[in-house]
Amino acid sequence: MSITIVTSDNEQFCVEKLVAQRIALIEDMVENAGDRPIPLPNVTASVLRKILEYCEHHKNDPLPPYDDGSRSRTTHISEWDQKFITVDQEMLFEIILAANYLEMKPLLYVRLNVPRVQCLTACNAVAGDIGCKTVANMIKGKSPEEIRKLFNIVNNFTPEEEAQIRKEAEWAEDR
Amino acid sequence: MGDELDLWNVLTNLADDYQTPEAARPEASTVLLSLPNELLLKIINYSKFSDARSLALVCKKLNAMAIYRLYATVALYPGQFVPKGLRSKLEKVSTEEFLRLHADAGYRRGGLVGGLLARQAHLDAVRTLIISDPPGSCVSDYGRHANAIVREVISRARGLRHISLPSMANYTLDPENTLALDLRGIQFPASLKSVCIAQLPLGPTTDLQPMLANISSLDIQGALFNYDVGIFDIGVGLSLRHLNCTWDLGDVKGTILGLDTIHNFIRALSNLKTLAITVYYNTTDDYIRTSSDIFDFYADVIKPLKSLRKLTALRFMLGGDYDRDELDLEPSRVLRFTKAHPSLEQLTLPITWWTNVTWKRCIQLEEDEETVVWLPDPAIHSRWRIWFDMYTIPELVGQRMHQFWGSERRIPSIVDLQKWFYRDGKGPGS
Repeated sequence: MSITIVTSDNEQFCVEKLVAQRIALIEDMVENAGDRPIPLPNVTASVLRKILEYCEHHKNDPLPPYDDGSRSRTTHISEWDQKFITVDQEMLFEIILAANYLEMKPLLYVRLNVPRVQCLTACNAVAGDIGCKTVANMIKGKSPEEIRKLFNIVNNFTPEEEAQIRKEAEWAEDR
Repeated sequence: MGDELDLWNVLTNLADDYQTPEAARPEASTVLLSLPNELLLKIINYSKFSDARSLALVCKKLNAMAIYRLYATVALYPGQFVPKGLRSKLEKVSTEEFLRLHADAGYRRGGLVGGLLARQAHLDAVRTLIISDPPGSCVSDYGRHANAIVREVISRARGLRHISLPSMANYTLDPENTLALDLRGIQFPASLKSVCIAQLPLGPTTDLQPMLANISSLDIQGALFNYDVGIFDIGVGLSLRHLNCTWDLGDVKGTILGLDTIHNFIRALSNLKTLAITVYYNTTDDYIRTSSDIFDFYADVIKPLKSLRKLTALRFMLGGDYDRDELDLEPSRVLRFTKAHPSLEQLTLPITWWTNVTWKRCIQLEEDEETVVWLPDPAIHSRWRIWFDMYTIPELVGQRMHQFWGSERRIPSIVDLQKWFYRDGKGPGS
């Protein structure tokens, strides 16, 4: 069984229901929509295509271990995921935003009917998390100035404020 | 298993070879700073500590997020705030001057205290506060200043959830100077949910009620029993769900009184869901001769705790002969607890004087009937199983383990454990 999703730029996607159910927001909408197409006004076609590519590739992944809150800070990303997420910055942030908005969860949790709260805390391998890890990897080892340059960020500290903040954070050097 | 996973992640971590995408396009509509705060926090939580420091210096928005990583867990060492050589010059010094002395002494930890107190936002970001190395006194000039700083941090950390405290007892005989760390009169943040105390004071008990009244988790690593008081009223309330307490009844003159006190203290905590209890007792006391007596006591203690689901029951014999102690692997020991408390789901018991096994309540379906069985934790089971898969017979496993770990490290009961684990594919209680 499949359902139809309409993106913000009016492109229609026909998606297998099991894959779509991985997206909690859509799962909620399916209940009320019947046979009507499901609108996703905050997601463009190019981003949804990437999200669905991710869902399709990971549909048979083993169940990730339940995260009891002591989440590991590992930024390891598998080879396929690295290739998947090697996109320009704008697309990277769009994927992170869309995955967060759509509340994605591992497909096996759908099959096992795991409650949503548990899914959201346990889920550490969805596209959004890979996006966040990628950004963390991009930042790794960079100076504040290099980070500003990479992400096109304006330094809005006054020289006095910056000096004060540097002094306050001195203790964190070399840690 | 966790270690292996970490190793795998290190070996396969391709992050260092990661090809950084090109810099953001100036006209891009979606940029890093357009992500909501929750996602920025997620990214910062994946970042290394040094990278979080860099992020704090990029711009105001990232600074406001990065401080939640920099100050989430803070460890203070009040006994090392100022070098000993300067302590004689502190008589007329204000706390601000004390802090300056601390920073000038070149102590990096001093910078942390200064940075922490510099802004309320930094204090608001603290979730876990670990206080180690107490100042040693609360009445000396140094002790007053060090305590003042600790008190200021605690009372201003409005998001504090967990606090870990060292021993608060000062072991001098001076009656005016019985506390090394003085927490009296502090307004503890309402967010505080979990407390860990290394050792409760020996002398007159500090008033701990303001700190403990509303917490849900308490860990006391050493509760020395005060026979003169005879009660153990530290001010915990009914909100307590998790208790881990080690009691020392080393003094033989009042083991019965000590056990009665523990009994009365725990049975009043009717909402406990998890309890870890350890008693150090002296086997020369007639009241407890074998470990069986202490496990009977534990089984009796938990009876009124209707919400209890997880129990860890350990014991240490002072002056006892462990080799002559009964076989701890006896399945009836598990049954003793599960019969006393049928709603238990997890039980951790010692199998030797240094090894514990966690048992879990499982439902097995046999001929369409559900049966309750208690099985050892699969993680432990699989850890032992690797050795048996490799060396096949228990004797060879024991031999190889001795070769691997050295003869000084005992591998007790391995044969019994193997026979028992694989006896009929079930644990005890079936």
